Amino acid sequence: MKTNITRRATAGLLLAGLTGVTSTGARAQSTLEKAKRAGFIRGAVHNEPPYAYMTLEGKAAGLGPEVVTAVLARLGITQIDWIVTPFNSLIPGLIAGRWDIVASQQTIFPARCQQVAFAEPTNTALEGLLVKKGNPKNLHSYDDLKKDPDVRVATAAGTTEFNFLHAYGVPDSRILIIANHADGAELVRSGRADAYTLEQPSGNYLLSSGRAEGLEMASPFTIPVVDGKRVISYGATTFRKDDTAFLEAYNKELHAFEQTPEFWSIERKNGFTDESVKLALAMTTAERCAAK
Amino acid sequence: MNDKERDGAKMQQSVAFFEYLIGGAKATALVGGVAYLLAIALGFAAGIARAERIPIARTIAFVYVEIFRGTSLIVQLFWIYYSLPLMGVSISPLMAGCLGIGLNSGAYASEIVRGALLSIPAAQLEAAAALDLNRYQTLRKIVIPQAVREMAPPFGNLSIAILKDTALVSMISIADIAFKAQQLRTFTYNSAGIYSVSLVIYFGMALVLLVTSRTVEYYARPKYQRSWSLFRRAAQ
Repeated sequence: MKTNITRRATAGLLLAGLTGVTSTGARAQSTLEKAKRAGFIRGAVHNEPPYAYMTLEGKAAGLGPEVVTAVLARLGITQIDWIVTPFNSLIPGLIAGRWDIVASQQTIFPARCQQVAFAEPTNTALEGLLVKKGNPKNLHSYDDLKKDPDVRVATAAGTTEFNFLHAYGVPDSRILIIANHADGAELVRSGRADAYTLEQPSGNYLLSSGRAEGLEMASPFTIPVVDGKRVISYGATTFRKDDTAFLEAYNKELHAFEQTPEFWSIERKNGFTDESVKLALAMTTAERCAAK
Repeated sequence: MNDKERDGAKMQQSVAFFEYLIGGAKATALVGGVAYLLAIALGFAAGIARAERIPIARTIAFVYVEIFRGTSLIVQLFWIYYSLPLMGVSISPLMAGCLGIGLNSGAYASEIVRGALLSIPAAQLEAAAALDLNRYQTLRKIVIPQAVREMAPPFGNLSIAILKDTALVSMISIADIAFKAQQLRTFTYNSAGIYSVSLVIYFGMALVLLVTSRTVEYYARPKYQRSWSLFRRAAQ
């Protein structure tokens, strides 16, 4: 009697386990199909103009969402439910299936390529440093951050800048981790941090928004050099690793979209110069994922 | 701008902040309310189970209470939101928020219930036994009505604690007051003003909970012991 029940129980558990496994496989191949059938897809952004942000009216704006909306429309998906989340939750949430696409123009980085898949890059960005007006601590490079033992630098959790700071040997005790992009400027303004690692497009947006009293981007600024190369970030849309069909379809439409003037006007509107975009289009995701 | 105009502009800005942030109060109230109901239900279940003689009930209650009291709420929320889907259980952010806070607060609620049950004098239980009431009848008719009076103040306290815990659900993409505050900061960078208004809104909601809690305490006492005054206590 006992053996019968235990055998049936184990069989039942195994079956349940198998269906769990196979259903994940089935889900992976048909994210695009599921989205088309449901009529909408879920996308995530973090709040960092001009890459991706949510306006106060609840509309997603910025380079990432605008490009993604246009490309997905060409794929037949016209409705996107946007979710705002801190930057370092973008990838975990994607993997957990909380959303199906991340439109934050995340930098293509080998460590990230191991967890997620990227579309082809659509923007480039150079590093910068946000400091107090007048640059009192005279910070013009990541070297300066390392050399001065009193300098505290703020950086967002999960970003590549954190890795670059480590590469330069800035100790953890002098790095302030923040969750939200808005905290960075606040920390510098209040003096809790002497600098905030901010890429130039976001920096330019902040300075032109009129909210940057008491702040400036360090100038001149030496682009950090990691592994013998000047750091230049290539941003792209993020997908789950097993959404291969979806990614292929997206890349195809993205390539077609890049030939239209609408693509270029979106880039210019968000403050990305034509030269910087051409650099991005000349690069491939595979190269960036393999880069050391 | 002279001082008067500047004050006027600041006032206008605060009102604008208030109008935007109050939109998050609905989510705060919803998550807080559902979590509170869940906490009461779990609190009673676990609290009574721990006072019972059946070992399996006591063990389950013990494990539940110690796990959820012993780990931090934000870690629990993130686990429900990010880790459970990887095991095949995916629930909506709202449900994840209510469940996380409910489970966590339920563990604390169970201690409130257990303490209140223990405070019933032994004489009551002996009298109930003398009247030939079984365990269930004793619990329902004698112990719980008296224990509720003991539980009312700590449960009122718990409701205010839950209100403040709801701010954490902003980290799992629920559009509550804290979330809206972050949104606003991205555009205005006026942290001081935004957070001041948020504090006022939270305080207002806490005040409502406080008055409700006091009212429940008032009515939980039998008629001859009711008094709004803190110091005038009718004879026990």
